[in-house]
Amino acid sequence: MSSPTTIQQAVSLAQRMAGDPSAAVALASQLADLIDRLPPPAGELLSRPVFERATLYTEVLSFENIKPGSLSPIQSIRCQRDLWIRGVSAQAYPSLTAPSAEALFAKLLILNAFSRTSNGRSLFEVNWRLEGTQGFISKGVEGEILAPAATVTSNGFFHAPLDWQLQTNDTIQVRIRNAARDLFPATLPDEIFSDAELTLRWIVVTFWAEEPRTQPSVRR
Amino acid sequence: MQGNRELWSSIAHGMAEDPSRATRDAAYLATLLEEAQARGEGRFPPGYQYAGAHHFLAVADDLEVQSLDNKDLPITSTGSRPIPIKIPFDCLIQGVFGWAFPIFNGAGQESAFNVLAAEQVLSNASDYRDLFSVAWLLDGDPHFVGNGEESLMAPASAVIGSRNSPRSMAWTLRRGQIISVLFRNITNVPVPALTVFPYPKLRATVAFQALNLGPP
Repeated sequence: MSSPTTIQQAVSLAQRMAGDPSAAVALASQLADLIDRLPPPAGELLSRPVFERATLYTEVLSFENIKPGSLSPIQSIRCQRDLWIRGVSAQAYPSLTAPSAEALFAKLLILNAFSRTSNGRSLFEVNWRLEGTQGFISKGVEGEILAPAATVTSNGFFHAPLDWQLQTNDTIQVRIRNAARDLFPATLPDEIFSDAELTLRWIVVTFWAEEPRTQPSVRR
Repeated sequence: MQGNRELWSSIAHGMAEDPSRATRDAAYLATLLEEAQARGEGRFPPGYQYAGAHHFLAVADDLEVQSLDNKDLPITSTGSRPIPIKIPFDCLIQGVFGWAFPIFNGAGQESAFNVLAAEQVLSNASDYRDLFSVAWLLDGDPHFVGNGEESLMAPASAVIGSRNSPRSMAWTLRRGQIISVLFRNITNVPVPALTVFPYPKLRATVAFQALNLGPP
């Protein structure tokens, strides 16, 4: 691992460049790289987008009691500040009941086995729009679709990366569809899981966000 | 100070793209950097690139489930008191992760097998992070986990990382600042009418990885 960059190194390089025009041209990229890799000073509460995948904010969308096959109402988040959305995670819960511990364990085992993914993300599909504009989850020219949450969201363990720079008052709109019934083969008797049990009691989609890095123009 | 960094970076990148600017701006940038160094901006903490040596833990013991039918207590909130962490020194929070352990102690516990089975199947996320929800405030500011306007709790599995893969963060906090962590046991969400055994209590923990930014 290389040693941390210091401002002394940047000063030395800049001084050398200032005294030699040919060095100024040759070393400009190196100086820019040095400055970008300077470590953070201690100071105010501050989020630093130069840290890979570092995030400060968690924007939360919460859905409740979505019946099997049903679409949720659209939920919106209006950005209270400029945000750099870096990733998305999700979690969903069914509403199981059982007359005995053994029956409950069996239902949970069956559900987990058919789900095949963590966080209950197989139980729903999801779509999002930015500023009311669709097309971020689509089949190309055929337009907007809902995608399995297991494929487009993360479980908090790994990161489903996004890279959206949003401005204050921009909106993210999310809707979901309960796809729990789709997990099971048609031959599986409906009475194993009633519609009430496959109603998704709570679904949460979280966008992990950073403060965007601004690059002011130089005016002299 | 961050504004200075951006200015330096902008000038340097402009120089890298345009040789005429490189010769013209080199002396100017050298002066800016020298002035910053004279102001003490060069006194960065050594070793900052290494993993944080400190963990700040918020631990919620015997966390019980709360009613899902209480209209005054939405599923995105909690009736439990926040657990405060008072920051002991200037630090860089580098990551956050959490875990929980379900504790089955109540009457009606049929057997150790049932306990083991319940532990295996109740959770569908690593480190039991889907059994509790979490949010936090910094010095009372609720805007870090929520809908942008108010604090909303969400399952820990969608907010924080696991012990094996913490969520990367980068906050510089000053000594004396307070992180207040909110917890809620949500084992009753996937099984809202559990009658066959009592809901487990949880011992839930959220850990912030921190690097001391003070003088060595």
